[in-house]
Amino acid sequence: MLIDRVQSAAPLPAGAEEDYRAIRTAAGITDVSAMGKFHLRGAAMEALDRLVAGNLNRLMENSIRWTAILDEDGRVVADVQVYNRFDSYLVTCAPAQRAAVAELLAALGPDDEVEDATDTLAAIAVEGPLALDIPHAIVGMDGSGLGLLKFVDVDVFGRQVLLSRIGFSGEYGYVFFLDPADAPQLVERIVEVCPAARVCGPEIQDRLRLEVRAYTPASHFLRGETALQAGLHWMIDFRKDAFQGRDAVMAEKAAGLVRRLLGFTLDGSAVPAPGTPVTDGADAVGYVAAAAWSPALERTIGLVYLDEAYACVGVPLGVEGGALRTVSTPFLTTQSTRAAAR
Amino acid sequence: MSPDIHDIITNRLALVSKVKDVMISSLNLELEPDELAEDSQLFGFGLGLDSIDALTLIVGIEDAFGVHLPEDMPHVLRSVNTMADFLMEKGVQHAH
Repeated sequence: MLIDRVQSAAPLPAGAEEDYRAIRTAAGITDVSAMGKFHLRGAAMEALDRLVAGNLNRLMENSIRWTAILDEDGRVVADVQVYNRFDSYLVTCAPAQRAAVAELLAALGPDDEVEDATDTLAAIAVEGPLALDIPHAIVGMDGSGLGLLKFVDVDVFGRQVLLSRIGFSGEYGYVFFLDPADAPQLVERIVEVCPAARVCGPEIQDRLRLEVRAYTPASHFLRGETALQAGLHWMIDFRKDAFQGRDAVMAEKAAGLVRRLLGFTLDGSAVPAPGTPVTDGADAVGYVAAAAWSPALERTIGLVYLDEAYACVGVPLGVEGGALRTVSTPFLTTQSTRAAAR
Repeated sequence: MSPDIHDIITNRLALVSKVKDVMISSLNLELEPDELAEDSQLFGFGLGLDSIDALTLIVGIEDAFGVHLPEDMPHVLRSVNTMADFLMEKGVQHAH
């Protein structure tokens, strides 16, 4: 039945609308401590480079690489952010992937080289157009001018805190990694220096990320698609001699992709459920991977897997509940992006 | 596939291919065209280009396609696809 697979534009959960507005127009503070956090030292660092698809040998000190761990079929097992501290790596991942990443990393070395710091290290994220000024307000010059995907050790409340410039909403974004006991005090301090900042829950994150097509497993994968089909080429170093899944990646590249993930917008306010077929006339040519109502764009946006012959921007297609058109992504140019370009 | 959709796809893919070639050559990227996803973000996450790369890319696009690309249009330099959108809006065909 239609109603089973096509939903109306459901309102955001209580509080999430204010969270969304804070992150898109001011600043939102989110406790992201549940993300997986691991310290790697010694030989485990080299072993990690042989595992991930990105090239860690080219990762500068105090820089972050967002890459993926693939399986032998070229599918993404987990995406990880690797922080290069010169004599160690901090590896982070989404909460849902913590167990899988912990198992993979544990195989890379003994306990003194691979340490799960998830429960001993808190992480407080602040994102939004006003977030740019927050690090400087809290830690002075040490926190200003930090480039995207860079990090620095700073002093907060007399203790060493890792401050990183990383975010997932397309706005200015920072994450403070610190002692869990200091986290509540840091949140208070952020609100003190930026009164417009709002403490946010996690519910709105997927929608914020979809608007800028930031990667999440839930929005990019539905039926065992590969990293290349999902357009995650940027997580892969194709010049790297060896990494898990490389043979599959190169074979798929040589053979050509059979499907590809594209953005779409939809006429009307219906939000098709993942898996909803996409058609050209009577022919099924793909399926919806993810969709949501975008408050900023005031329309339904989403990602769709299309057969390679149709995998192109500007194509009008059909879906239950409306007519869709494939479009370029990111869908939204954020306030922070516009400000950075000035 | 209808002739209209076929034409849309054929024209778009030709333009995208040209944009990729210009981008790879002007920035000396160590990439083959099929290693560059059309929606990969150019700055930050994605390819990790910087502001100097942006200026180089603007010059490359302007020279290749004979258009003026204002620096105050941040939505254009987001991905290969957004650059192709801009060029199509300007009426650019792939074979300039």
